[in-house]
Amino acid sequence: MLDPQMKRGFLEMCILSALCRGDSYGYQLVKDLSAVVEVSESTLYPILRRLEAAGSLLVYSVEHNGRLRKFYRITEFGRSQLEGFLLSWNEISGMYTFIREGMNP
Amino acid sequence: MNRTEFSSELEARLTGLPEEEIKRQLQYYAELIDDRMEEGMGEEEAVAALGAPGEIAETVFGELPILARVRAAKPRSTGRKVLNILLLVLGSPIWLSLLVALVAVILAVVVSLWAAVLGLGAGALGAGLGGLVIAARGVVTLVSAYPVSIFVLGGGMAAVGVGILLGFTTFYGGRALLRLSVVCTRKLKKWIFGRR
Repeated sequence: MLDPQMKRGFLEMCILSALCRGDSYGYQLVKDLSAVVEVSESTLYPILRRLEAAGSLLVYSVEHNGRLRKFYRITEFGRSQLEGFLLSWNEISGMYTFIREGMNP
Repeated sequence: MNRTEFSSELEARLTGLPEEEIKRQLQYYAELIDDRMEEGMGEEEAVAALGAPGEIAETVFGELPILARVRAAKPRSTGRKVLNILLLVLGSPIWLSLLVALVAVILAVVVSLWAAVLGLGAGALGAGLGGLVIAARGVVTLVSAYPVSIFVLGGGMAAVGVGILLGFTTFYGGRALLRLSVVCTRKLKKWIFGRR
């Protein structure tokens, strides 16, 4: 029962990380992320839009089988956000341990 | 549900959002349908995999603060702004002169109303003071110019009476006009500045 707000924050990082491995498009991202976490297309869409507005990724279109496919690419800013997130992991795991120990003294 | 049905239902449920945003969303989901069909899924299956348009719309409106922020992040096209300013300037001979005319009319009405009140006041003073003077004259010549002096005294007192009446009218009329002005000014301020 992950809090949707928290999940959204983590999903942002997941998307950026997936893009680190290479540019990707909507459906591919959905497939890659679904392997790790339960996510639907409709939850993904606003996150992608927010990342674009923040400048963490950029969008471009490529022709594919007679239609246009939207590709996403991570930016330098996006990479720096990922690093920031990884750095904050110590803080997060520290709090998690604190919470868990508080319940089983 | 086939893709056209899905698309039109989603579009209907997203009414209220800016056109550009709705188009973008429909494109996003159309692409997902295409990709799934490319993998071999049938159209109905691909559409079903997206979920119900109703649920999608619910998620969209739930995420609205984010989308609103996205819209705010995009700078409004400067071209539009320039066009608006240009139109305002070009049209100014018309709307500007109309505005000036309107203000002039309003001022004229206000001035006339106050002039009326002042006129009443002047009349009150004139009748009152004049009446006093005449009455005094009547008193002074009471013995020497009797019975004319009685007439003069009476006339003077009548004039004072009229002056008092006019005085009351001026007072109430002036007070009412003042109250009206205050109310109108307040309403005007609210109308101009109240939209915050």
